[in-house]
Amino acid sequence: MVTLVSNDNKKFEVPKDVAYKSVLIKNMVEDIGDENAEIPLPRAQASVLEKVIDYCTYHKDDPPLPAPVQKTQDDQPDRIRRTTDIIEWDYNFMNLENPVIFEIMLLANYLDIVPLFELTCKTVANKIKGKSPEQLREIFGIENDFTPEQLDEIRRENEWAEDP
Amino acid sequence: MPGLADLPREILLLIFAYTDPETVLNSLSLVSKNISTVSRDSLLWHKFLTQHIYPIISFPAIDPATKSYWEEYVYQLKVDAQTSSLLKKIVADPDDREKHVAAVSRLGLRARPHLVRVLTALESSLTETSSCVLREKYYARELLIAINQRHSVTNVLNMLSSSSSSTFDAFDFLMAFDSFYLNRSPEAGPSCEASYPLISTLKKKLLPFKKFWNSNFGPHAQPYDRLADDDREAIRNRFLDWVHSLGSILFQSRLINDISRARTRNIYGQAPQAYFLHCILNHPHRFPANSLIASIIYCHFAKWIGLKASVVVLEYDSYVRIEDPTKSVALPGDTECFFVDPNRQGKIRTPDEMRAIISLARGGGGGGGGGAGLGSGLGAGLGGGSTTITTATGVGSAHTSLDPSPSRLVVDMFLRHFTDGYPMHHDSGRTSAIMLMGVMMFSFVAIAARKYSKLPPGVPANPETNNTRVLRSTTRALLDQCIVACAPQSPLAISIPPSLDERLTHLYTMAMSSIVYKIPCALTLAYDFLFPLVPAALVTDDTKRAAAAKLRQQLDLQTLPFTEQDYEFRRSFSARPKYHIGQIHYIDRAAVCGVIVGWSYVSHIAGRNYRTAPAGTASPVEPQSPVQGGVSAHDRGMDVNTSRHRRLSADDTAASLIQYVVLPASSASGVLRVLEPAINLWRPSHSELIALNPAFFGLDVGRFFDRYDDTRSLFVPGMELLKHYPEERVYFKDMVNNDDDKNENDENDNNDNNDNDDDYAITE
Repeated sequence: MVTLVSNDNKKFEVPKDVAYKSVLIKNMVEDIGDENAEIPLPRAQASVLEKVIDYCTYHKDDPPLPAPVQKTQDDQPDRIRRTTDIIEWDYNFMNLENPVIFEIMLLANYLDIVPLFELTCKTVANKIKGKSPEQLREIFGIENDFTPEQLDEIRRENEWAEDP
Repeated sequence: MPGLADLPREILLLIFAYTDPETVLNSLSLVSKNISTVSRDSLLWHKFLTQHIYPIISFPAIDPATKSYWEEYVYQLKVDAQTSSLLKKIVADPDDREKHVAAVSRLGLRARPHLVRVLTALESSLTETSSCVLREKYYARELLIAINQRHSVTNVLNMLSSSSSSTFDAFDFLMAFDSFYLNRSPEAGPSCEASYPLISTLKKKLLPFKKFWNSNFGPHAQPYDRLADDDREAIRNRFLDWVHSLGSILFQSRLINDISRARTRNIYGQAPQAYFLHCILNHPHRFPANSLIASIIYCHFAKWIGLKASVVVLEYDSYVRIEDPTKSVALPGDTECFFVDPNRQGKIRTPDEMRAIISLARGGGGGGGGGAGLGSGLGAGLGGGSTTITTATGVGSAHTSLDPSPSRLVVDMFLRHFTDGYPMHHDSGRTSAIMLMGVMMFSFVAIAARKYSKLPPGVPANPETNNTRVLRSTTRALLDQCIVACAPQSPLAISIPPSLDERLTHLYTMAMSSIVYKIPCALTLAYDFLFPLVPAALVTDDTKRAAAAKLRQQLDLQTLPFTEQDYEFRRSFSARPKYHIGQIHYIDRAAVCGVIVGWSYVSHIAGRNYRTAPAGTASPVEPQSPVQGGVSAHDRGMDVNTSRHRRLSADDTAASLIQYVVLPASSASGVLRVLEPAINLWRPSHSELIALNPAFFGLDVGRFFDRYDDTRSLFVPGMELLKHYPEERVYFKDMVNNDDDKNENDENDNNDNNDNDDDYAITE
């Protein structure tokens, strides 16, 4: 078991194969050389860390991602990133408030859990797709700091994208 | 708790990369200043370009200092919108179709992404078989082909105009040229060698030779002349063995051919120009281009191994010059290089042998006959056309240069041989290929004119820089006249761009569009411009027929479910009025009595009877009797064989003389063949050198004649027989007008003599 300590000093006992979904934790444990040592995670809130552990527990038997291949110019072009390949459990798991999703995203990025990070990106991207600027501001609580003239100018620059 | 706007830029970019370009442009960029800035990140747009655009089309690398990937993408969206709108108009508005087709052509490669989307969208929704959808698919495919081909030609043009002799690679040129025939993606350019599997296979096979070369003559090898005598001898023998093997390996692979074989082998798609060779050069006496391409291919492999190789072009043949790495050690004396003849299974010739060959080729040796006396007169012309033998001043001169030819000359020779070879082929079974070649002919004119654009107006062609036969004796002034003459009459509401190159590209586009879409006015405009420049007017006729055949072929290839609308679609195409190009004849008068030998068909008036000699037959002709040839014989003129009333063949001996060949007044070349031994036309066997008389080849030796009379005075002894010729050369445009009247008369004559169809039978 690996003991993870959140920034509010809450301790989580996690099986090794679950904890090792995080590349950061795996490296830290290997560096320390003591599998029973406590791993402090100062950037992890307990509530968020709990969600992340839930995810890792569910996905602990997933095969590891293939190692990233160094791209060269002659390689095949980037594949188009799809946001529709989300399994039902993940979809339900991500049924959260936006700020929580962003917290999980940042923690997944920090802990280097690539599948979870990609899942959060896809979830946010799905929320963005097909929305108008006004809807996006409302969904994500963003203030419009453009003047009407600035908006007109951007629209003029992008006009060809409107009717592809 | 963080919000979207609080996320680090890198994470925002990753999220945006999961959306699509339209969302980023239309929504995210308008949310807030911070997000708008991130939404224009170059990395993000490079990713979008890589995902959506670059797989279809690649552009030169963007300089981030002057242009961003965002701008690049937005511009592409603009072109997509234009293409989409034009394609809809092409389908819906037949009256203005040519205008819209030309407009899409002008968009160039950038029109491809939308056209490809149209094609793929249709493939995934086969249930939509409405006539409109089918038409869009049809036009999208045709436009894609047209755009690819146009771009290939532009590649060839750029290659010819921008590179110097030292950087120019003839093999690259052949590959660029080939991509046109095979409709390969034009951006592949010279790097498309991988698409010739045989070449890479052979390179694997030749790897031991490359290793041998590197270990013995490479930069890290021990200097050859410091080796022991025995070692030197062993290495030299092995080296020569390898050179022999290279020739036989290439020969066995069928990449190059033995000229003693009657027909070019079918090596379609295996080497650059293989298709071209197969289609056009399957006639045994059309081997110069075959020989040249073999040399270029051989040279490419030799250079890849490490040898210092270069092509040496002679008038009628070509060799590969290879520097001997064992020079002046094993064999003292004049052995610094040797010459490989790829057309004879890599036979190796010494410099002395080559000198003998060159002197024979210049007409100094053998040959004889009436042309021998003209040899010296044409020596200058020969030298001008080919720098290889420029310095040769006499038979067997000690100053005979065996220097390699510049690559540009090699390519010029190739172009010349191509245009020489074209008119020989009239097999209607290969109309599609012929159509492509016909189209390529237009681009040759553009290439030629580009060369001329460097000349001041009115200056005739300089044989040193312009020895492609497409030019004939056209001058820059004529070219300008043609452009000026045809531009105001343009029925298209398209302004002709000011620069010559752009005009030619424009005209090429019209020719291409007109061929594919049968648009008469564009065709007329292109032809009006091109006719005076195109050597073989038969291109037009062949192209016209081939275009029709290609359309039929395209329609037959429709793989969509067959519906009523499809029937209607096909019917509407076949019912469209066909554009008529007037039958093109040339009219001439026979200089001497003889027999007209029809290669395709040649007709003439013998006595009061109008006769037609179909291919393979002969018909007697009297001096000064008018003769008339069909387009297919336009380039060659008529062969008159006075001693044997049959078609000239390789069996003819020196005893059978070709009495004359007159090319018509409408042709810019006035090369006459006078009393030449027939043996000069042929190589009796591949092991035997033949005597070539430069006079025999007139234009081929690089000399351009401005006026018809110039050539007459040079080559025709009995000038008084030809006094009835007009003093000024008649250009093709005029000939067309004359032909109209003449044709009517001819038709009457034909009708009158229907009973005498057998009159053209051979008579002694």
